[in-house]
Amino acid sequence: MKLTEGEKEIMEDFEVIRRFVSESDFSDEIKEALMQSIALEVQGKAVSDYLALVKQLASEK
Amino acid sequence: MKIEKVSVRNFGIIADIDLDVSAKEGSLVFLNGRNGRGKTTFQSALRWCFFGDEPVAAKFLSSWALNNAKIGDTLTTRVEAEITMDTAGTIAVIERTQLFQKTDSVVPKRLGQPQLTVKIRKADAGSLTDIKADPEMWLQSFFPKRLINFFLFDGEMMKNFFDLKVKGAVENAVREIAGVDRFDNIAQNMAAAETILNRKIAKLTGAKAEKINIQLEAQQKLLVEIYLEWKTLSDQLAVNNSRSEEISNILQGLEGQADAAERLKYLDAEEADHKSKLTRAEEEFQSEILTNGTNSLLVGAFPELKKQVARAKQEDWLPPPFEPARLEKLIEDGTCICGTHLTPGDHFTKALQSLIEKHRVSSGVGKVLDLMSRQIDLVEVNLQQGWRVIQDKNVSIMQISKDISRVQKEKERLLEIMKGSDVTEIRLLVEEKKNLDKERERLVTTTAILLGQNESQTYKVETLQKELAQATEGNKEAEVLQDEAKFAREIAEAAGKIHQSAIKQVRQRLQESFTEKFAVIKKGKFITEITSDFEVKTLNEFGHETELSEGEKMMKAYIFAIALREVINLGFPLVVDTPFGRLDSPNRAELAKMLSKFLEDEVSNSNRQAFFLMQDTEYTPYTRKYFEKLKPIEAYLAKDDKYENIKSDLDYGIDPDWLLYESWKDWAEGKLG
Repeated sequence: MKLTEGEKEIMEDFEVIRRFVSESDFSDEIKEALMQSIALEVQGKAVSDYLALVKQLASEK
Repeated sequence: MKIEKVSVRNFGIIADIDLDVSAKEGSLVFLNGRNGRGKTTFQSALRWCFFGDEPVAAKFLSSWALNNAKIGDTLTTRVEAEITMDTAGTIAVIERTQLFQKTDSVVPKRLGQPQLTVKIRKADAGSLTDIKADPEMWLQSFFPKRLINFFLFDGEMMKNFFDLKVKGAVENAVREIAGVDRFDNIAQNMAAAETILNRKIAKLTGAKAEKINIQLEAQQKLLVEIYLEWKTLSDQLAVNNSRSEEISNILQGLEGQADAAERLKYLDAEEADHKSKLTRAEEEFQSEILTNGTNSLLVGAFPELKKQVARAKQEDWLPPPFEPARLEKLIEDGTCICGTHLTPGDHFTKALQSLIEKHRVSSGVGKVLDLMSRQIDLVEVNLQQGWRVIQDKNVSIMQISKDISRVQKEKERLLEIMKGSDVTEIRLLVEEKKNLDKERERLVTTTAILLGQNESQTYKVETLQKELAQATEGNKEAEVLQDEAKFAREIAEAAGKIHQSAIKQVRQRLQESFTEKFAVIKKGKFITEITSDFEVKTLNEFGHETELSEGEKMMKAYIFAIALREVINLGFPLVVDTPFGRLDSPNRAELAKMLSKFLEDEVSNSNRQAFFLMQDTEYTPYTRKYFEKLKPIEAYLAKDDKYENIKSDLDYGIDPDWLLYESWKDWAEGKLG
């Protein structure tokens, strides 16, 4: 997980949701994508940020 | 989380109080008072402050404030709460205000909308900072509206908590905990990201890909529509099933009272009618939201398109006037309309041919742009209308929900009266059940058909996605985007699927926590099951549902509220109006024990707290003893001598007026030991 300090703080509050993701049977790539999406979601980010996330994660694949 | 201070100004009967427990020890606050002194008003003030829910107009601006004002004076209703958020000592101050003006009519005039401000201070920082960006959102993240029923409790309603509308409340709570909205949003945003990527790909790879993409977007929209229809019918099926089950239960023991039965039948029809209206309204609401969402997505592309249309107009591609056939005819005939002789290959012919070519291209582009500009106007108009429709639908959904709850209440009353019915009635019920069964068959078939359609539609969408991928082959840039679009789709699907498993996990955790706590109040091998449609059942060791007494039912509601806090790891206080209701002494003692444990636990780095709002038959010296160890903070709301009917004041300790009566009198005289 590559999260900034600010994102980490937000993620702490969503431990429960994070657990659902980590206990799911998706591939690691998807799990990471979901976790980072949750970080975007709790910050109320726009679709353009989701695009950037997809771009970044797809290039790492 | 602890509420440290609450200031209420000009709110109903509470015109001016400041409750401050910050310097006092203990996490349990008893706010006492006789009937009509403002206990419920206090809860309603918190409800407004935290959730923005307004009381009815007559209970909003205080009569005392209004009486003391002159015509034209401005009055402010204000509720402010100071909360310690965590054990590190972060403080939040939440304030909601509404301005009124006294007029010559009895009703004051509202000035503007309610205003919310939220300020926070970290333990180490000196001053409060304003949450300017979106204070409502900040508040929502700590006090989710879906959990309102588990934050501000009404003890009177608690005994019926698991009989009445609890399914909705439990479902809301579970969905909130499972973060269903967040996963939904992720799925939607990822789908939107995919759409944007597909558009880029189509642009890069030319007309063929663009055509495929247009089809793809249309088919995806259709897929969503099929899903929504399926969902509506599934909901109807659920309504049908529960009614059917209800009849089966009634039929089990009926005799006499045909009138009530007749009325009941009428109410059933009315309820079904309201419900179908509700389903329709909700469906229209959702599809309107969906259309508007799709339209809003399109809006992003508008500025660029508009620029292109403007340019086309300026360069005279619009409207596309060019007819190349006429020029070609001139070349063929060998003479221009100006009389110049044209021979193949000469300067004039070449000039005409290049003109034909140039205009053919610009005319094609012009036609497309012309069409586009008209579509843009249409989408923008639709968008504006759409929001209006959404607002209307929202209002009608609220109205219908009210109707349903009215009908349900009367039905419940009648069922109570009607311990039985005559043979005719039984026959009618049997008839109704038959009809319901027939209807169910139809619903089952239709939903199955829709599921099939869903599958074939999914296949169509997938095929188009593959075609789009093929059309991009060879174009490196497009291929990269194609990979990204595919990834976005995978994430969207995963976010969509994780609902089920998240909800299941939450249900299981709630069941475990609940079962463990319930064992304390009801001895025996009982387990609690939260069914897939969110019924909370208490089962005995043979798996049969168990009858609970009124007191046990109330305890069950408490346990659920506490279990919920444990599972969700969220620390907001428990504020209960008439907390004991029908609880007898042993159950009060058990509740005290359970609360002690609950209040001792630290959750998510914050402390817990409970507020009980009670009158003197509920809070007696005997009850006080059970809670002695918790060192409750006692405060009371009592009449202001000068304005006894319209203003209550607050003080700490036991209301001296109570000490003149019954057990409190004995207690005051030291007769109770």
